[in-house]
Amino acid sequence: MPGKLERSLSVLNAVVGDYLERRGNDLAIRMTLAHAGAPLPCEREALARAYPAATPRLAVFVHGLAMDESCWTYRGEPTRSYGALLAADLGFTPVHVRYNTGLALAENGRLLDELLEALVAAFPVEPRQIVLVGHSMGGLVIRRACHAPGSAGRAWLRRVRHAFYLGSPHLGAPLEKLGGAVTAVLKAVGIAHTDLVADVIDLRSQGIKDLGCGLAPAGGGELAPLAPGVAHHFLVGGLGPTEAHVATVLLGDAMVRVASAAARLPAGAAVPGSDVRFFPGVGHFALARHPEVYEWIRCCCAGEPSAEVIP
Amino acid sequence: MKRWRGLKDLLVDAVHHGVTAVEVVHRRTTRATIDVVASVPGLGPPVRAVGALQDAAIAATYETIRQVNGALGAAVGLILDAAERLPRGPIDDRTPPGSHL
Repeated sequence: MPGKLERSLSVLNAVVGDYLERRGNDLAIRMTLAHAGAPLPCEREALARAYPAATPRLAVFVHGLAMDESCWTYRGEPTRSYGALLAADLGFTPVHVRYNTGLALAENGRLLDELLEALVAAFPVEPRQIVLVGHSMGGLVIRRACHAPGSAGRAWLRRVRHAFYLGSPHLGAPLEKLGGAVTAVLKAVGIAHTDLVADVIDLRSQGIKDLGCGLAPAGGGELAPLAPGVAHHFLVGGLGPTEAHVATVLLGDAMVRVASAAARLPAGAAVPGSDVRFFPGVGHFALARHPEVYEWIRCCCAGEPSAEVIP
Repeated sequence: MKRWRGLKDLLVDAVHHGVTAVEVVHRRTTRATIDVVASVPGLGPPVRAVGALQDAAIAATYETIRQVNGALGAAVGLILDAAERLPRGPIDDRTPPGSHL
């Protein structure tokens, strides 16, 4: 598990990570694999040492904004996580990614594409099946990686069977939209003091700003297509007991609204070739460590899906 | 040590940008006051002259803060350089890479 310092750096990188990267500051987190709370070089010997019982089935976990790999660990049970459970139940080798969540989504997608290609090349056992699991922003980074320039025909992409998006704001997150609106209003006031407050709010990183519209084009239009040959699973949390409950409709999972997490376009059209699963009473952060969510992931990976498939 | 250096750089940047932002607010606020007083018939030229002096004083004050901040940053950088050159003890293999400052 990462220490308090690593967690603090994750938060710092979420807020000003793009600035740190531009300035070449050593506090900037480089995208890397993480194992036992520390960065893991993507080299054959290091991977063999870290995964002495490596299997050909890889489960890659990508955390969300301001988080690190500890977001997958169950509260009060430091050895229990989706990765550990998938290893025990289905023989997957769990691999965690740590990255600078302040960078633009497109940049993190490109870096993840490169990291996964390097991982497949250096992994001690030839990976035959890859499952991608992204929480919140992590899901968007996964989708970006699938469409990164040059990713077509990549060895890792050919091996991906399932992609799980846990509370990912495909159509944007309301909190960031609110931040953008507040900044615009404060700047429009035109007083020196409100300009200063607007500038402070505007300091937030490009990664946070990208969450405003998610993967939807800023001017409206269609979402980026899903990678072909992969089963895409949209796992959606909600504060209320049903999807139609007022708490769920208004607040979604407290951070992301249902339509955005399910990648539904405003008109109600869903992304074809995908399935959506709603988890009542499961908040945004609980999606990364919840028994029912895990059970769904396990069923899908084991080939026992009974999801609501969207034609 | 790299992270200490990164923290130092971030603090120096934060003070620099923070001071510059406050300076802009300070100058805009005082200029607005000067403009109002200068609009009184007969007071325009002397008030504007005072305003120019005040503006120069404000600029000098904030520039001094920035210079001191830069000098402090450079001094801490030298201390970190010296600390880096100090002989180290045996490497502890149990310490995971990147887990310490």
